[in-house]
Amino acid sequence: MKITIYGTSCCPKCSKVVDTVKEVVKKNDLEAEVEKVNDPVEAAQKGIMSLPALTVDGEVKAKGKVSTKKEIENYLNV
Amino acid sequence: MFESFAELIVSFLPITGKVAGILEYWIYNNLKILFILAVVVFIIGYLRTYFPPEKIRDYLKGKDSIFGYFFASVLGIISPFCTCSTIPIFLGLVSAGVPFGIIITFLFVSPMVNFAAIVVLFGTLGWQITLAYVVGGITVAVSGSLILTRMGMEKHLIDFGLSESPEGEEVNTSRKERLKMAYQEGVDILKQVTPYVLLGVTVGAGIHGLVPEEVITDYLSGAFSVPGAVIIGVPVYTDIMGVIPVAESLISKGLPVGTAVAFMMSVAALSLPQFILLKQAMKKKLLLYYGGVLSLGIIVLGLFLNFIL
Repeated sequence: MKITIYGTSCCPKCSKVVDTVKEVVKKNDLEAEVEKVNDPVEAAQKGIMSLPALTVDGEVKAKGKVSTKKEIENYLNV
Repeated sequence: MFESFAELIVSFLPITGKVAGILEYWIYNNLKILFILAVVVFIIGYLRTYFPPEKIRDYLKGKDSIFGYFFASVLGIISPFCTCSTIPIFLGLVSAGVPFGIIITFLFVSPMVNFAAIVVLFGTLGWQITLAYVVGGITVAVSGSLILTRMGMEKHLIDFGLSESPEGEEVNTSRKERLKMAYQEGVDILKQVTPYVLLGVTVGAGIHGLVPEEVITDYLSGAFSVPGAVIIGVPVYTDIMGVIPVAESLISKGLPVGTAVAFMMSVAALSLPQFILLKQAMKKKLLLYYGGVLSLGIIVLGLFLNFIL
């Protein structure tokens, strides 16, 4: 499973999402690759216009918001 | 309500005269502005969850009509002007093939007119000035973008080599989640803006208590006051929320409304951080013309408002 977080390098909210995702992955012992993309151009190519955004295996799960732990667990079906 | 509260606090303090007056003004205005702001950022945050930029973009696709400009303005008003928001929206619009004039309208409106400012202005300075600010701002933006389009400035947008992007995927969101998003965003914005409000009200209270009316009516109301206000606004960088209390205080001392509106817009839209952000989207030449057209538009608007009001 590949989890991608789209944000910008200077956006503290985006880093918060990365931390929460990592926490969830670790807690549930998931086999997942967590990747942070700081390039809004790449986000635009995915049709995302509000950051931070989160995709799981390419599917957009959240955009323009800081997802909570529980929400992320939902996205990952755990 | 806030007025009597401010009065009450000051009456407990061992101060009188001018100082007491200034302090009372300071407490009253801070409470009023921060209260309105807190309510508004929450409401707008909630409403915004129903109008994600992806939806507006899909609507704007291939529309080069008056409605296109109108919706681009709305998008500019409701989205905050920051790297996390403005640049992704800009890129999304470009990749969807939205016409240049409409994209530039968004980039003109976004720093200049903002929803929270509209409501705070309404609460502090009344509907006339609020209307002048909104309609004036949108008019400057649309005419500016028509001018830049006519000048063939389209080629000076930075080319990111974007291919057609997919339609925005809908993400299901419950009401509870929307409320939570609005709350989170509201708290973030308040944290960010409060220091500017405090600073603005402090300056406003100082003007209110210490600057004699004659100084303003004698020196700041001539024909040159409008371009002067725009020029002074360039090096001043603060949130628009920080300028409103200053403008309010200046207007009550007799500063012409057009001059005050021009000053507010110049502070909000014509500052270095704004240009640094826009540099991510525009090449130098376009950025230069953007600044020129915007300054000119704000000056014309200010003169016009002084003339009719």
